[in-house]
Amino acid sequence: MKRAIILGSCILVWLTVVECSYSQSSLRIYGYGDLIFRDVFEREFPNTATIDEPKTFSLLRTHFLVSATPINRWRMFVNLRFKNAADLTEGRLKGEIELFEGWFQYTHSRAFNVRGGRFLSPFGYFNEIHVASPAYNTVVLPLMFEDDFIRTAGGTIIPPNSNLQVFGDHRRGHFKIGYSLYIGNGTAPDEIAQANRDNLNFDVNDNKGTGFRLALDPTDNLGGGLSLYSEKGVFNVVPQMQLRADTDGDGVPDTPIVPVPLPQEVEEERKTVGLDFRFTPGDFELRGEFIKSFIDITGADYDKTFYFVNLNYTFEERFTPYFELNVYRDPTHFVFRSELRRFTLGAAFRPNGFVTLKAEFHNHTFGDVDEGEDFAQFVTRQPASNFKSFQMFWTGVSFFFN
Amino acid sequence: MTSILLALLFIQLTLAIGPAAGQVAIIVNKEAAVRDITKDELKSVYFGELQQWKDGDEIVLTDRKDNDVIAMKFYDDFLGRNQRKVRKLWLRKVLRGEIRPPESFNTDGGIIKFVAENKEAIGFVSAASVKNSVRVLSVNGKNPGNRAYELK
Repeated sequence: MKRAIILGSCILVWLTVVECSYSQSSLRIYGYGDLIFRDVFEREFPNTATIDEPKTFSLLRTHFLVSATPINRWRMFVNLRFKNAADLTEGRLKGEIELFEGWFQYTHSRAFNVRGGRFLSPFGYFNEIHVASPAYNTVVLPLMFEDDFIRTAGGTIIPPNSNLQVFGDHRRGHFKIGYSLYIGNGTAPDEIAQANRDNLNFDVNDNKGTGFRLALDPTDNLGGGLSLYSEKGVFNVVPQMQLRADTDGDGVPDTPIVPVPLPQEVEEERKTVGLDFRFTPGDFELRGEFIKSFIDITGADYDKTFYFVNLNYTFEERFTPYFELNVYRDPTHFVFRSELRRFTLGAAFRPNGFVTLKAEFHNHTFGDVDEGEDFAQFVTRQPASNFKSFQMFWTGVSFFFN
Repeated sequence: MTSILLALLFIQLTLAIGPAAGQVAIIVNKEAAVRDITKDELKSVYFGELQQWKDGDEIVLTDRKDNDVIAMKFYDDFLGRNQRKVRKLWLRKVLRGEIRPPESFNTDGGIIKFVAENKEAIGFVSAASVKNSVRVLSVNGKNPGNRAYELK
């Protein structure tokens, strides 16, 4: 009996301690996901007939987020991503949990904050909402921030591995000015390989990045930013995107649509400048971003340009039709023939604060094969794509849970 | 005589409901160190930019589930941004880990109870429903009932 009382008391004390620590740390768990349906319903090739692709229905992403304030002025944040990934060695899908973000932040004041850990570089508007699909109107985020696109096109984003950021802002009336200083440790081309790790299992690599961002909001409905970044190191770049080529039983493409060259490790220096803006008069919203990367690879210089604009209008706080234009120019990208343009027309409906239903039509067109001397040189080494254009229809449900 | 009594009753009721009727009160916990808040500070707090009280405690936001008259007065008229836009802003910040999700309530009573129990919380309710369990902040140095009080 005595033992039971002691045990009961212990449990009570333990529960109290747990409850106290839970309450004091302001621990919150929440998250979001995207359920999508995709139909590629027309592909046009210059030398073959139109080819249909199977319709696709999948859970695009699921994220669980944990936010805590263990002690005053300190914030901790963890963003776990759950996904299905193709295991090519075993020829099956396997579940993966990835630490997408994980950082600590110390807030001294509004004007001075320090954040360290794994997080996306504070580069422009779309890095800010990169993980925030429920907060954005379209089913598919702008091209540059799709995983495949970053991987294959090289992107302009320092890998969110080990970063340090100092940032803050100052507001006076409607006017707000903010700054961000950033140092990124980068990632070795093969971050998992032991060859890239020292005795203490640290990822040792020469890839380093520094950046600066200045944000200005002259009024509540007008704002923008200027970002400057510099990266240097060895990058693992797949020089083109594999776009679901039809394959035979052995996994070998049986159409000449998309040849798949091996990833290349290239040493390069990259300087990037970005401009972003938002203008929200009444229920209209206009957002956009322009990014240009100047890339210096030994023996070759070229630049990549990306921009998008999104115009939308919200009726009765629920229904939002939108138009978006994405343009990506890359002289080394032979599938895109140096340029990809994506026009998007769609609408989003929010029945409540937790769910957004979306549907959109995409039309992709590609650059002229004759454009660009660099590209012409490139295709002498690699087979060219036969893509001319294709259209896609997407529907999606973004859900936020709290 | 009856009409005089009725008139007195009407005046008394008017005075009782009085200046606070239809006004919005900003409330915090009684232990909170703050007594006055400016319009700019309130904007910063509700736009997720100012996240800590002066003593370093994290500010815990509360919100109303329905976009009722009080919410419209607070968001549209006072902060200059409607509730949907503010919620969209929150969602973006919440998903990036910048702020914790605000606590939502159906009624003034729910907000008042939560604020009374949480030292870091702030909320806005109808001034007529305020109880002694919470502290009403003056806004730009003016209290609800004052002619120059802006949240009405």
